[in-house]
Amino acid sequence: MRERAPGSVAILVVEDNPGDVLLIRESLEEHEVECELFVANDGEKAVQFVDEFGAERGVRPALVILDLNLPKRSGREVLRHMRANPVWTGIPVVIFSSSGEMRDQEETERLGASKYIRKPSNLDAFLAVGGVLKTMLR
Amino acid sequence: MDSVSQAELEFLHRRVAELEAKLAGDRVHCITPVSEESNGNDSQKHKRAQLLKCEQELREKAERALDTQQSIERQLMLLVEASSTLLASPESANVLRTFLALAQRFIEADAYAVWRKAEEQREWHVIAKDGLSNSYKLEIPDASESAAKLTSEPMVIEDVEHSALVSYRRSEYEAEGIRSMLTVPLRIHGRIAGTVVFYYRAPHRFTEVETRVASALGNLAAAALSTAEVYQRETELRAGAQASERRACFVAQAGELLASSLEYETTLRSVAKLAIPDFADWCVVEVSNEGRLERVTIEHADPAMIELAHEFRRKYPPREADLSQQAFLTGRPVLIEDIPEELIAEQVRDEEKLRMIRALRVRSLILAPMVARGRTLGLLTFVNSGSEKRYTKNDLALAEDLARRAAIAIDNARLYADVRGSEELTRTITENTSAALFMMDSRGRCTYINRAGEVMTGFTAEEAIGSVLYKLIHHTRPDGTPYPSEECPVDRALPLRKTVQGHVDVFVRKDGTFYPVRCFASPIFKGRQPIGTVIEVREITEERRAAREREELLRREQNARETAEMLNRIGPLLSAELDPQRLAEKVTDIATRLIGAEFGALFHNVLNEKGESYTLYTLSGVPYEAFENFPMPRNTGVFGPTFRGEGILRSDDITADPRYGKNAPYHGMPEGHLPVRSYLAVPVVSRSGEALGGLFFGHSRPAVFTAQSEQLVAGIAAQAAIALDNARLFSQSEQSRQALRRSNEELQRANDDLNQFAYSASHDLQEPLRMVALYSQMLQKKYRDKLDAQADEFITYTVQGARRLEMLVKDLLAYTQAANFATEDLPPVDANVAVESALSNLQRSIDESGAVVTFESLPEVRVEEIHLVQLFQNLVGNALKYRGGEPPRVSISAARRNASWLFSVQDNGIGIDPQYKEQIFGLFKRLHTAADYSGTGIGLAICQKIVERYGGKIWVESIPGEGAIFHFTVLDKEPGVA
Repeated sequence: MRERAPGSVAILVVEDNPGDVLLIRESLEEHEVECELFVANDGEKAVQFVDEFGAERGVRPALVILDLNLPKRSGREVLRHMRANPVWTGIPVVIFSSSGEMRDQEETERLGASKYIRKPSNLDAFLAVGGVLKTMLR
Repeated sequence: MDSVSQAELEFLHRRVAELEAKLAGDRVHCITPVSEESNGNDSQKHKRAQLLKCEQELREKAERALDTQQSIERQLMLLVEASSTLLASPESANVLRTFLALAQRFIEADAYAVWRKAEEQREWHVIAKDGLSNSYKLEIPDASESAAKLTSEPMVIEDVEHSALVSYRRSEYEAEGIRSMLTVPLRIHGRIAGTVVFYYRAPHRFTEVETRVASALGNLAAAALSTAEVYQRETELRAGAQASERRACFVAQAGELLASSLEYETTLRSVAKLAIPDFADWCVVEVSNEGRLERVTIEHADPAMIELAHEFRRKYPPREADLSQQAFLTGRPVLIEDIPEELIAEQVRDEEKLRMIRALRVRSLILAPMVARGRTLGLLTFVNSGSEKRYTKNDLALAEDLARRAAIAIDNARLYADVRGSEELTRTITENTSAALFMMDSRGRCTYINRAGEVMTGFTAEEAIGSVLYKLIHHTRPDGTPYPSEECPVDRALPLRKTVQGHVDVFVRKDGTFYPVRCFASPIFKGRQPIGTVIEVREITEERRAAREREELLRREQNARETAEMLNRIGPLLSAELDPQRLAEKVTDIATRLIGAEFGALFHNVLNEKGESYTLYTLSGVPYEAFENFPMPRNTGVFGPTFRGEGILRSDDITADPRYGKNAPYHGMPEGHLPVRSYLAVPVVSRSGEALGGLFFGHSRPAVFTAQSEQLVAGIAAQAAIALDNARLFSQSEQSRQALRRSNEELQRANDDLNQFAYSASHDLQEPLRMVALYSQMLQKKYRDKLDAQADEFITYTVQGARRLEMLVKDLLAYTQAANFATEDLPPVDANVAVESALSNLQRSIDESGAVVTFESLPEVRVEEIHLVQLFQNLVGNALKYRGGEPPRVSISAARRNASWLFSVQDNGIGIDPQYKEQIFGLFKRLHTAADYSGTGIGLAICQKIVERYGGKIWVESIPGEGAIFHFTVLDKEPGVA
């Protein structure tokens, strides 16, 4: 985790695949999003991040990008943990998963996810994701 | 029968073939660069290979089990059917006919024969055959072939030219063209006394099922033949008894007639009439008149025949060479048991004469000269017309006896005519009659005894005359007590002034022996004064003996018929029962009841699931507790022979048998055992000659079981053996059914595992693949034209490869998912809507190719909508992809076909070479390179999987260069209706 630069927003990326993290960063840059990325590469660390901020010691992210398939604790658990903490109310959570299952989308929406984006395997489509994320920061 | 369906087996077969082809790395049809290069796939490959191997083994196991199952079931059906058909016909001719018909139905040999060796004969005879020429030798001596004939196992000879066993008959086989044969021994009445032989004119390899079916058939035939032969023996006995009864009756009546009148011509005519039809079809009486025969009468049941006989005699008067003249001249009787048709034709040259002789129908002949006091007085001719009524030596003796009596009657009559009214007459008559004549005075003293009387009583006339007759012939009863004169009806005739007619009594001879008699006594009066009694006595010992014999014959015939009928009734009853324990109970109960035993037991060996043998027993007539504490009967002197299948043991008192009581610890029956005296034990021997167990019966009274009981139980044991074998077969078939079910379940599990594996494998491949795709594109984006031209080319290939692999994995996932869904209780879906969805998914390709897709009004079907869309999308997509030079024209139609809808998708594309029309449905099967036509080779495999999952079929018709029509069927049924 890094210090936040002035004038930029913090985005929490819960993602264990560094390749995806790199491409998220790439797509945000593509759409000129000024941001500081906080990366939690397993569910356990994400929960820890949630608790720290809840104790008013951590950072308040403007957006959470959450993978579902994570080591240690699943994306669903992380989402449930966030929505159970009142401090986190109002922070948009984007589910970013390779699963195309309707069931996953419906379930995470019920748990309070703001958006569900399926990870594209086409580069142009992936880079377009940055534009969607940008709209969520406003 | 719940088993792997044909379709499922076919599917698995294809499935394995596809996956095998893929693993073999068929580079023409299979483009799978990643799976070949990736290290991580090695263990998956290994796992898949293992699963495939397992699946393959299970499939083979299931097929084998199915085969065995089916043949055993067929066999069982055959046995049940055959046993009731065969056992239902009690006559051997029927049995053999039925048997040959059955044999032909179930074993396709070129010829069949049943050989039989009767107990008293040394030769084997063919008693039934089919497909063999008439010149085939139907009789062979026992000795040389006995070794082979007497084994209890079927004997297979696949080539008679090279078999030492039958070398001595090689020329016979050559003449018939026989190359292979199967000989099944028949166990009849407890020993191998017949065979069934199946002949083949081409070398034949015998399968195990064939041998077993043949052997089972043979055993059924044996049981049926045993029963039939018992039945036949009784029928013969009965016929014999009836014939002898009729003959005896005829002779008795004829004898009475002859003695009744002196008007001999009338009498002889009556006798001749009496002979028809029981003793003869023709009877001719001729009497000598000055050395020439003159016909007195000719008798036949049909007057027209009598007319014919007269005509014949007018046309062809007798000649000296004729047999009848010879018999008359020599005084010697003639018996011709059978006059063969050919012989007559040979002897008689005159056509007309031959025709008449044939019309007279002379088949069997007796010529009995009537001889009295050394003179031939005439000739009796008896003729039978039917071949089944041939005269025997017994008949000849009877005819001679009759001829003698007739001769005496004629002679007496002629004498009577000569000496009528004279003293001589009386003397002649009395001295020549066959009856004993006595006269006694009013005080009972003998005043006259004739010659027959002397012979009968043993007293000479000198001894008898003057003695009290009663004291000579009638003093003691057979039991040794005195016979008081007051009780003697003969002595009472005079005082009571009453004639005694036909009184039957027992007299005693001079030597003290007793003999049965029938007597007539007439008191004689002078005026009103009684002066004596005339007594006529006939000995009836012979008559009595004949009657007793007749009774005995009839009784035996009755018993045997009852036995046969019972066995016939029991047969179907037993063969219908397939549970061995209930069967055993039935057998024991029936047998115990039928022979009147106090208790009966059946000990039989059965096999458990592991094939181990153990002994079960069934009791009848006593509670099971009565036997609970006794050990199983062992191989002792008494029980051993039965358990070894050696033969029947019947004892009137088993405790008196030398083998009884020889074994520790009980030395006889254990305490508390029923006190058995009468004992009957019959082995139960299987078709293979194996002793299956024994039937045991007991009774506390001695000598209860008869020869009939023995015969009956032997018959039941034979049928029980077959029924037990059938039951055992059935349980084997039951076991193999279960084995099949188990292997089906395992197969299903393996199939599920494989599907699960394919699903997760393709699912897990997606993530790393996405990275490869994304970053190769990233490379392309960032470094195009920055490296050299070759690097650009490499990157392009990587991007293309990743894209293809992605499609493959996606399709593979779709393929595995196409197998895992329920097809029950689906709502109907409008196929028109599905086609529209499919076309909208294909809109881009349609636009690009300028295709025209038409479809007529399509029906509703019960198929998941996404599957229907996928089907049309893949088929129409293929039509667009494999288009020819012109813009594609695709038409979709549906037609009713029995209980299905037949959908057809027709195009005008490049078509498919017919040799590939099966292959294209295979997984990863492609006919074109990716450069010509893109695709993964999964689309049609998915279509096939979907169609077959719904119980339909998919196929293609095509003329290369002109287009293709893909057809598929969808069952049209209501949910829940099978």
